[in-house]
Amino acid sequence: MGMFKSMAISGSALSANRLRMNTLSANLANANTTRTEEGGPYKRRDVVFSATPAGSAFEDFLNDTNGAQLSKVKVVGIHEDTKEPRMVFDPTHADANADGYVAMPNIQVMTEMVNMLAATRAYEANATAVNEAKQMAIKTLEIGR
Amino acid sequence: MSISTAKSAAQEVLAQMREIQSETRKRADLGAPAASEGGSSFMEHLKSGLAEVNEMQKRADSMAMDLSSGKNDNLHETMLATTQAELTFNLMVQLRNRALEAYQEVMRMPV
Repeated sequence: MGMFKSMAISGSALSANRLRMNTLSANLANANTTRTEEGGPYKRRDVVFSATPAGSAFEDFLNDTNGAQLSKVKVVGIHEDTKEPRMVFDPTHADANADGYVAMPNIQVMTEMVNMLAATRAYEANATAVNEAKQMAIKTLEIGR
Repeated sequence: MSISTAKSAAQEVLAQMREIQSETRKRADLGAPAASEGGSSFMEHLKSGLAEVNEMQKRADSMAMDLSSGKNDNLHETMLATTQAELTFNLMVQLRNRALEAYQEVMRMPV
């Protein structure tokens, strides 16, 4: 249905940004985690967004060729940051190595906060897009009243 | 203007009216069997539309239920479903208003 397509697209962006927010929250929560199941400090994670065709491409092709060009956003994976862990000198720490250094997660709290702001704003923008689409539909229903 | 020209003009108009009448009759004859044979009359379209609106309402309802009972924490999906249900319902109400208006217009027609 044409009227709800923009809502579906914005909805996919809302989902994607929520997942991004969750990932960033996990990063912040584990900014000082030195132990993980796979061993070593926690590694920073980030989402990877990918554009996917909105609706079935075949149907779009049959109905109108313009609709086939629109795409939703989808999270295709959560990737680990390969940056080296931060080495902090703290000989009293339980996980300090022989030289007294502790491998801390490769997370900059400041960067994560900024990313969080960006995610929040992106979410807001898409929520606004949904509302605008709704306003458009309401205005359509007011035609000829 | 002489009487004869007025008379011929009136005859012309009458002929045109007859033509239109026969044309509409032809169209009605063509239209009526097509609707019954195809099985997709206006009424059925309306019914399927109503069923769709009802389905959307139900979906939004169950999603709200799941959200409030903690089965689901997908807040924005629920909001989207509710918005879609609201809009489809409004569309249905508008269609009903138009149909009723048309009906009343016909009923007001002097016979």
